[in-house]
Amino acid sequence: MTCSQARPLLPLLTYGDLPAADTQALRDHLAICAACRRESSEFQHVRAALGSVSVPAVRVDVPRLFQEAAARQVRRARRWRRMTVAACGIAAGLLLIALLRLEIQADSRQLTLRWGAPAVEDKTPLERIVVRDDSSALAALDDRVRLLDDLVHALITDVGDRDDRQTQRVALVRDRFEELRARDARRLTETERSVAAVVTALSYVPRKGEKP
Amino acid sequence: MGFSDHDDAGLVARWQRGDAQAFAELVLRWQQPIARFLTHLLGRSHLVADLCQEVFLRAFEAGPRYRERGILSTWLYRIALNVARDCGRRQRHAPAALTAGEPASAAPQPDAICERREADRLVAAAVAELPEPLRLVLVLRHYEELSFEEIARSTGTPASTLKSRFTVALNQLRLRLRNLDFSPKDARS
Repeated sequence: MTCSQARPLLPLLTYGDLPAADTQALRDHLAICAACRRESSEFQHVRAALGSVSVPAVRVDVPRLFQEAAARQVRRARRWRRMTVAACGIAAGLLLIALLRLEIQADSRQLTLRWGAPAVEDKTPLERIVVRDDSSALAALDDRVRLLDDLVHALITDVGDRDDRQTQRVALVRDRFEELRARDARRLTETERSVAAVVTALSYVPRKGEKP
Repeated sequence: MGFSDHDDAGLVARWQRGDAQAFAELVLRWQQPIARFLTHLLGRSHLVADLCQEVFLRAFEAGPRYRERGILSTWLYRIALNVARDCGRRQRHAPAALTAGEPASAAPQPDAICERREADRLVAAAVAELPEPLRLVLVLRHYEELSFEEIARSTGTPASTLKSRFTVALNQLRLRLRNLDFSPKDARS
């Protein structure tokens, strides 16, 4: 065994924690190595020095220990009760919030679940038409539909009449226009004739001895 | 250790059946080993009485959950180690050197007492400066005389690792004491 092999084993040798074979080999080495022997001696002194440290005499107060245990048990139970109450409070709060924000509407044909704030009322006509499942609402709706149907038909008829009347007016205007154009043409012809006659009359030069 | 595991098991069984006297006997048996363990581990003798009280209080509270898987000492040392670590976290500073407490058997001569207290202080300071893992294995092996296998059961660290740590701890201690001019004659035995 060499010194580098022996030295790490010296603390274990000091406390008798080496296997028998290692112990014997180490003792053989110590017998021939003064440096390792000196180090081994230092470890023995360290062991002796550790043993010299005094320890205060301690006496556990068992009755006080029982009292503390009981007090701790009470404190723990109280803390647990507080935590339970707090947890229940939080759960109730959450439930309340959930219920306040959750709206449930149940009709005969539909179940509506709505979460959050109520929707802002929309003023568009479509939103106003709410289908309600009762006979009076259906009858009113039928009346409205029928009324709308009549109105649509009346509008169609009225538009047709107006269209016919407008067509007749257009025809009259067209006839009148044709008539005016024909009259203008006639007048133009007469005017042309008159002009031609005047021109002819003005351009005539009587021959000598001829009377105009 | 000095106490029979069989006796401990009997006392634990009685205690778990509700016999408070059995618990008191266990406390009486183990209070000084636990105090010694805490003293050397923490290096603060003035805290040891309160910490011992806390160790046995925790043991008492955990009693119904204790099962006879190992030996009682392993369980108690584990509780004491947790108490010491909690104390270390609360204190948030390095372990202080031991002030010489009242020894269990005081020497009569004032000079001898002074010299011994100085020697105690030097050794305790050297131990207190060790890192906690090294200090733990040193304390359990030297002061509590547990085998490395028993320490391994208490701490959950492999025995081979514990042996390496113990070697390092003892070597560091040797060098520190040499630097402190701690001579062998200062040792009590």
